Amino acid sequence: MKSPRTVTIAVTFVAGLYFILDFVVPPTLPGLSTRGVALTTSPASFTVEVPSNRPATYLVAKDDPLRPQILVAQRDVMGQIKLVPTTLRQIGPGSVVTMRRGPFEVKAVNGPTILTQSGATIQVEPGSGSFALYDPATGRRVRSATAGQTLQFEQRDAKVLTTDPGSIELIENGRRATLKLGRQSVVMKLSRYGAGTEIQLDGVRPGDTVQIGPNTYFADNRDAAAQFNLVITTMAFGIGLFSLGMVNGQTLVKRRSGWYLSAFFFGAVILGVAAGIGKYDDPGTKARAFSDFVVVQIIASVTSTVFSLLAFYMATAAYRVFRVRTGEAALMMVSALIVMIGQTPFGSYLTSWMGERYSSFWLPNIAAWILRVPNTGVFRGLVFGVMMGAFATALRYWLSMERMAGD
Amino acid sequence: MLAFSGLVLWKISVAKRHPDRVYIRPIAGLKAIDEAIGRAAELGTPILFNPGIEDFTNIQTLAALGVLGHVAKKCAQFSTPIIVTTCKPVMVAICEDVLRSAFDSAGRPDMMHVSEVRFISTQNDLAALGASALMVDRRVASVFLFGSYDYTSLLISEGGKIAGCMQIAATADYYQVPFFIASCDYVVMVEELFACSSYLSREPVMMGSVAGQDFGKLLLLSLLGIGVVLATIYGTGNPFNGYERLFSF
Amino acid sequence: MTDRTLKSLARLEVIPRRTIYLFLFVACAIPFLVPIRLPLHIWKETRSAFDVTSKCPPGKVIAISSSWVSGSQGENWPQYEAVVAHCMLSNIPFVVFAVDADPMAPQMAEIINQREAKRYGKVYGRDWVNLGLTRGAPLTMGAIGRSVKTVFQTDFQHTSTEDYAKLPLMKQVRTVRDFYCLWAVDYQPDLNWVVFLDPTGNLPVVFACAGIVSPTFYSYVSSGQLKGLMVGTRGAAEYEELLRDTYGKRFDDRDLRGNKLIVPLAFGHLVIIAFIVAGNIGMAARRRQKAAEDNR
Repeated sequence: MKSPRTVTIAVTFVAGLYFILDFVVPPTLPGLSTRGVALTTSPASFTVEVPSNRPATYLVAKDDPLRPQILVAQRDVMGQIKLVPTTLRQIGPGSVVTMRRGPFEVKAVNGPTILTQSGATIQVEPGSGSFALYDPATGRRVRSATAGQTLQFEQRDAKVLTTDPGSIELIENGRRATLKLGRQSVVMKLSRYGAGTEIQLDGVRPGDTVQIGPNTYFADNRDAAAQFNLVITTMAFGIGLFSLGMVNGQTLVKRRSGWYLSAFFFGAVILGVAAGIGKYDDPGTKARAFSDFVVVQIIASVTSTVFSLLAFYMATAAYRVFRVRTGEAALMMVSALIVMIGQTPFGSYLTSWMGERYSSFWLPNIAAWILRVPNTGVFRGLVFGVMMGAFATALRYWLSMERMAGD
Repeated sequence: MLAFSGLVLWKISVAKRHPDRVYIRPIAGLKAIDEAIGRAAELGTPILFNPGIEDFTNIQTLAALGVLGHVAKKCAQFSTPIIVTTCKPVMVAICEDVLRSAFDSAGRPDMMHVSEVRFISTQNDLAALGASALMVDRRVASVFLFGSYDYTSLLISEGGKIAGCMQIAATADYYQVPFFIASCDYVVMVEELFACSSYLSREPVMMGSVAGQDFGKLLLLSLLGIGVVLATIYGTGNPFNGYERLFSF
Repeated sequence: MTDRTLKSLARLEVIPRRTIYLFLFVACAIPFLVPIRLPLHIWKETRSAFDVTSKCPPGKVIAISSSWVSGSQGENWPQYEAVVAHCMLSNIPFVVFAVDADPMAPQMAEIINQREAKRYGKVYGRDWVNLGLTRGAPLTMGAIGRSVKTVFQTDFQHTSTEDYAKLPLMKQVRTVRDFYCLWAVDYQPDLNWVVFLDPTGNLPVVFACAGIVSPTFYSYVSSGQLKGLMVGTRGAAEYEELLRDTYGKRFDDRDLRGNKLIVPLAFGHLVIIAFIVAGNIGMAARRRQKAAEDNR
């Protein structure tokens, strides 16, 4: 039994460490980062080879109207392959990318060459599977370009040969310096408060305060960690339904007492699934009307009824407990009554005759003062205690020090 | 964070070396756990444990699971069946695991057959009502409500009150504490929840962490005190204001 | 006081549960049968929530996290309705999503969105987008802030969020920087929104919560981490009052849910207060009775 426990401890520790580091560690390595005010940038570029054409170099510059958007194929959570935008940092020699450029307006078409309004030329490859022209408005493929059209083009299956991350000229501690970016350099734009967000080199404007340094990799996988969390929590729903089905199925098969309730359970599940099918249909359709009926007229009414029980329970509980047995209890009751009345329209009804001059003595204002001042003080005190308790408990679990009864 | 972790780890190591040096004051609600289980044993009826409305990502639920382990172990000694109800599907497997290991360590793996973990509904209020219905149907003698709660605190605890159960509740959601006080016999208040499993286990490591957390609080309070004094003397608009320059970076 | 009076007063100490239930039921039911309107005092927190929302500049959208379901609809429905009405009346586009909520949450929100859209002539996809439900807070909250479309690849009807022909609004919604503020409407909104969605802390966050949990949030309002707070049905009624002041007839000629629900709430409170007072009178009477018996 020792080794599985050690593995669990190790996995818990590493996962916890990642979570903390991803939150605490900055995106660039602290000691090796340069901070300064940006002056000019020389754009990043990359060379690609496409199946039917010779290698070409693309610049990733802001003022280029045909600045390529780099996309890579990725499987999404539903298992479908999708093109998702990526950055130059995340691709390297050997990566296969898709580049989307445009939209641009066609000025003239000269054989396989398209001249755009901005003066750039694009080489068309008729019949090539790796090249396509699109109409950005409809998303449909266009066979041939004509003058005056607004188009977008896509170059697929391009193999990256080299990448050049570019360089930046900045003022660092009063000195002008040119910094050549490394392949894994991260550019962060710092706000006034010192908090930074990662940007691309072409997003740097002169005058921006930037911090450039080697990547710490923690921030890169944050979204993947979030997705992992999402998958795990969604799976729990399946477990719940399975568990309920098992319990109720056994009751039904063995005809235990209350078996009809289990039958009702399966009926409710079927009704729920049927209601779920049309829940996002357009309003007015029958499926949607049925779904809304089940949700609003049945489920909402049932749960609201349950919720309303609370009012009755609260009334009896308040009646039972609020007894002035001691001085503290009297103080508590007076403040409770003020807050209760102050929160209702009767509060202003009873005291607003005092006039604006004595508005501090209006019941709603006294109630608000109780909530804003003494309540806030008490709450903050409690939060400190809860936070430290939670911290120590979390630390115990993280380091596998919690002694459960079985250990 | 490093300072707080350091304090907790330091106190744990102290407690390991000198277990007698760490003291946790008695908590009435936890002392009553034996009484509650004993009551169920006398009546020959099960007890009900509810680990709150959140899943294991909530720290209060983790604290509650620690208590569940100890309650299950005690139940195994008295041969009292235990029913765990939850509104989080993922908690079913976890609670079962806690029960199984507690029963195994008490040498009573057979207790698993008479105990059960019930997932009732993902809707907290329906789960609370389901638990209340169970209390009546199964003539539950004692109810343990440990963990994080929302408005369902009163639904579930009033249900227990009406069913005539002895109830012990513990939550760090402080605005639910009044409801528990109104309808439960014993309430473990707010941060005491996090000391529960340490108090029950009497393990030096666990006791040390509670002592460490108190030292952390002390550190926090002293920082707060220093901050208040500095802000009063060197606060904005004050001629001695060197404080903003000190912390501006 | 005579022994008989004391004895009958002492009975107030143990009023049967069902009597209290009956009185409460009647008190809450009467306002539904006889329309009554009560004056409202507008709290500072509600007003600042209203002011933050009103200042949304063109080109920005308001993000609403609507994670409530039918259980707390008594409080959250009028709150959400008031916020949506406000956005639509002042032509502020909004996106709504639910995190770690019941699967019914997006549908409840959408029912209200469509009712309000019909009233104010708004179009889905252009004026609002319902992004549906996701799980895994608080990590997901951070992910939404970094890239909305990574977390929500489709809207609630499974239309791709990159299909700008159907959802033109999504063209301007990329990261947290495109949001003007976040409204979290829930029984108890998650405080993690303040920390995770925009780690720089520049995005104003406003909560709409149930009355019972509101004491927790006042300290965050005073610290400035929450820019406003709408508390329970009372908050919703006050928000409606503010909308009425701003938009007059355009908003007023309709059934105001918050204003309607606050009346039974107020009557319910009065009944509870009356029973608390009665219970204390009963206790005092019994003590006197006991003292008199001991003296004898």
